[in-house]
Amino acid sequence: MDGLMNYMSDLGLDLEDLVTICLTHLLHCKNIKDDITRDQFLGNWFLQGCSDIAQMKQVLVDLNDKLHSDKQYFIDIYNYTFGLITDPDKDLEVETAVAYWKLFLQPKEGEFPVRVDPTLLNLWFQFLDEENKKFITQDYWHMLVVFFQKFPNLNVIKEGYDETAAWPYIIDEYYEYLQDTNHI
Amino acid sequence: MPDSLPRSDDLEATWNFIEPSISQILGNDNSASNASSFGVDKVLSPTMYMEVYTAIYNYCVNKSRSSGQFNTDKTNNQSSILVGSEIYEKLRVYLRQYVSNFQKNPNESFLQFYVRRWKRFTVGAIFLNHTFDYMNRYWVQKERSDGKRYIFDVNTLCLMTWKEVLFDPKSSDLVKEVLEQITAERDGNLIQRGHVATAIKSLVALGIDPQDLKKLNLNVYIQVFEKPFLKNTEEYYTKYSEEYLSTHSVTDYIFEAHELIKREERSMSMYWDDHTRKPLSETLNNVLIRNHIDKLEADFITLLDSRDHQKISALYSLMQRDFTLLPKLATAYEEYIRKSGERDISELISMHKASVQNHPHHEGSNPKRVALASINSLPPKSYIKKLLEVYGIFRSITTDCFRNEPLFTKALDNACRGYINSNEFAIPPGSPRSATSKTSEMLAKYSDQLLKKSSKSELVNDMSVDDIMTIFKFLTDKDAFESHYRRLFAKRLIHGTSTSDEDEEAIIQRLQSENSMEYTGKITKMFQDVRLSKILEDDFDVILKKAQANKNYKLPALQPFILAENMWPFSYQEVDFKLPIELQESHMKLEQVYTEKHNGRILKWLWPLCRGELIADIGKPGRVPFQFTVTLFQMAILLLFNDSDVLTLETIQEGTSLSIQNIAAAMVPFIKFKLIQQTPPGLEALMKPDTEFKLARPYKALKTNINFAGGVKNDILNGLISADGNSQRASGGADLTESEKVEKELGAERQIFLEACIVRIMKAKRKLPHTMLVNECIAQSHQRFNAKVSMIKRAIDSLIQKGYLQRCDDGESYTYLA
Repeated sequence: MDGLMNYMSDLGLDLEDLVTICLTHLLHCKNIKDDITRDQFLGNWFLQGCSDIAQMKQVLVDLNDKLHSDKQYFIDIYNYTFGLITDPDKDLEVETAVAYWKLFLQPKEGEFPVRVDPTLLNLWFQFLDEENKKFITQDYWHMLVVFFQKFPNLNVIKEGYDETAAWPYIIDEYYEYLQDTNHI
Repeated sequence: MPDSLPRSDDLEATWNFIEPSISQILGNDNSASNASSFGVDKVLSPTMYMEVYTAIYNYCVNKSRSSGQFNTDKTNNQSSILVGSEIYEKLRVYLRQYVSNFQKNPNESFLQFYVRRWKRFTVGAIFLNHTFDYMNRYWVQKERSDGKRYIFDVNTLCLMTWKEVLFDPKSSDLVKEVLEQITAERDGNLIQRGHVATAIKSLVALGIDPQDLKKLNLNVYIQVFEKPFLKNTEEYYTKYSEEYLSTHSVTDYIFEAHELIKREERSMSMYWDDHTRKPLSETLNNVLIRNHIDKLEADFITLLDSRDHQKISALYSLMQRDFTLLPKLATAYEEYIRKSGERDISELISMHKASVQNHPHHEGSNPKRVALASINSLPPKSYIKKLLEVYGIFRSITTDCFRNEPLFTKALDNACRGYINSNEFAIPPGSPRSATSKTSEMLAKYSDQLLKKSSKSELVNDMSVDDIMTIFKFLTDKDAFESHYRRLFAKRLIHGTSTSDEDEEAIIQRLQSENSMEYTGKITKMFQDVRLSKILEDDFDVILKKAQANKNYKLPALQPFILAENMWPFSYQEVDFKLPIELQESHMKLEQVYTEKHNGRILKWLWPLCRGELIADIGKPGRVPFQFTVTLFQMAILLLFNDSDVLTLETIQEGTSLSIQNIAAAMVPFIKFKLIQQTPPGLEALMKPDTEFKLARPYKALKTNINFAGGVKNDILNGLISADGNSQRASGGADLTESEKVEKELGAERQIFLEACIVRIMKAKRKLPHTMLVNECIAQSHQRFNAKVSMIKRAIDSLIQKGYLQRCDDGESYTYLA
């Protein structure tokens, strides 16, 4: 893992930068705590046709652009992230989830293909906190972005949300929370 | 009248011969005035009739036979030529002339004139038809079959003539007069009903289809009479009902409308043809019912308030004339029942609150707590009886007034399900959404009162199994009932407080047939356990007796209950306890006997539930020894006093290994009944190791049998300990109340049930949309409880998490992962 960190700084990357996740994705890294094998590293870069840092950097720049423009790629990376940051056979702790949600849904600069109304996102964090939610399951992780795509702000939720539809229960609870707190 | 018949081939002669007779058959003007009764002989003597008939016959026959001779017709095949056209034409002209000569008497109305003439004319027409029978049969038929549809048999010819000459120009006058008469009758006047009826019947008779004479044709009737009649009816009753309603109550109107409809449909049915029945009844429905539907529906509520069966029936039978009106009525009914049920329960609660506050048992410290306590102390019987009372009222209305019409039966059921499960008591305002209705608990308590030996007979005498079953049917949370019922049932069983096994069994049977085998599974198993235990007890007794035969002391009798762990609502808790020496031998023997019988089964002893009877000879000398009913812990404590009259808490603890909690709980009833004296007194001292307890000797009590077990309250020290502050919270969160425990258990059971249910469904279907899965789950759990969507969703989430299910890409369905 330390090796990975060094490698990142060699590439001029910041851990906070989501492109690092694109990188681990590219290298087929299953979990952040796993080591990257030599074969894995060389094989995957070879497939990209890269042999030095400069070329690698170029690939990452391209991936970063893709992340900002290709919605499907963005969602793939988002879904992939859950496995990357969660211990196998466990649920994701809310604090970590919130940190990554902020990266994905509240980028400091630029815009990603999936955009959420900041108020709505902050209410979500507030809800998780007040209702004392501890863990996020993979299903919740996946469905939240589906939910935000369909209902990017409070108005849309107010008009279109249906509790009998197939949303996970936690999203129903969120909806009720929004109702109870008079946001919708 | 000529003496001899005219020549058969002479048209003029023949006509001249028959004309006077025709005129007489039809009735000439002079004789017609008194034509109220017609006899054949009066119209025409048989001889005359025969002669006319023969003349026409001769004419037709002769003509056809000699047609070739005279060569009047084309030279056709002789035998096929039939003759009649000339005489038919003459008759036609004659009839036109005849009818147009009718004169109205100055003193009669058109209707009277019309009817008088019609009656006579139709009789004549029939006779005339007979006299021309031969011509009808051969010539007319031949012509008609050749396609000449304007040729008719003589009777029809008469009617057609009548219609063309007399009726068509005057029909509106006629109908106007008829309608005036009907209106007059509706207004209550006497009219000549015969005239009206005859005139209307004539319209039916005049409906002639030139193409097919045999077919009844109501064109004339419908066009000329029925339409104006319906319009007239509508106008009349619109006005009438509005006027009536402005001066009378809606309820009066309901009965009036019934009368009106009855009059129109029964009494006045003699006028109209059957065809009018349907449109008339629709018109009446429209005018009398649908136009006033708002008022009627509003009155429905008033009538329900009055509980007046007769009036409700009247309204219903009026409304059911138009079945499209019923669903709305049924909905109103349902709403009404639900409201009444809810209101009655709220009233019951406030009455109960009031009565509790008027007689405060406690030092009325906190009014809020008293209010809460008063709600919780609502007797199950009054609550259940009130539910039943509401049901009874509307059950009988549904039967008596709505004749158990399916819509209304359904409304009743829905409404009952509503107010029985959800009312101010069952789900107090402000409860969380997932709250379980308290009705299940109340019904279980009600059953317990019914089945407990100790219940007073005046309490039980009007309680019944039927009551239980009636309410049970409407419970949505049947599993909650089962859970509460099982708890109380268990207590009855092990304390032996059931009225009888038969009574218990009867209820179980009925629950089972109402719901399912599965539903009563645990209860049945509990029952079995008790029976098997009885057998074990007997076996044990036999063995004991054998063992005792060669010893000189007697082991205490023992009544063991071997209970299957998961079926009973008791959870095993590790308790520190040393069995008194007096019982140890029995205990060992029993374990021995049981393990011999059933190898490999584990026995766990539920000490806190054991009870025993002690015989204590501590009264005044010479008195009958006391008999104490005590818990096992109490027994262990009391047995220690066999060695010494005074014991410290410490010694008691050593002797029994019981916790202070348990000792204190056991001790309180003794102290209360002055069997044991505590020094120093007070609850706090109960926990100090050097506190002394002294057995009262001689013990004075009024009764010989004393039950100390009933007074044991395990939480006796809780308040004290938490108030103490420095002591750690005794057993903390585990100390939920009974009903909270049940609630929690239920939640867990339901979750398991739903997950199992989903897995079962998905295993069969592989892939299913969300809504279908949810609906299927609701359907499958319906027998046990009312599955809420949130519960199902939680179960689905949990199964996704456990890897049984997977969301499909469409986000709206799931697949089963094997």
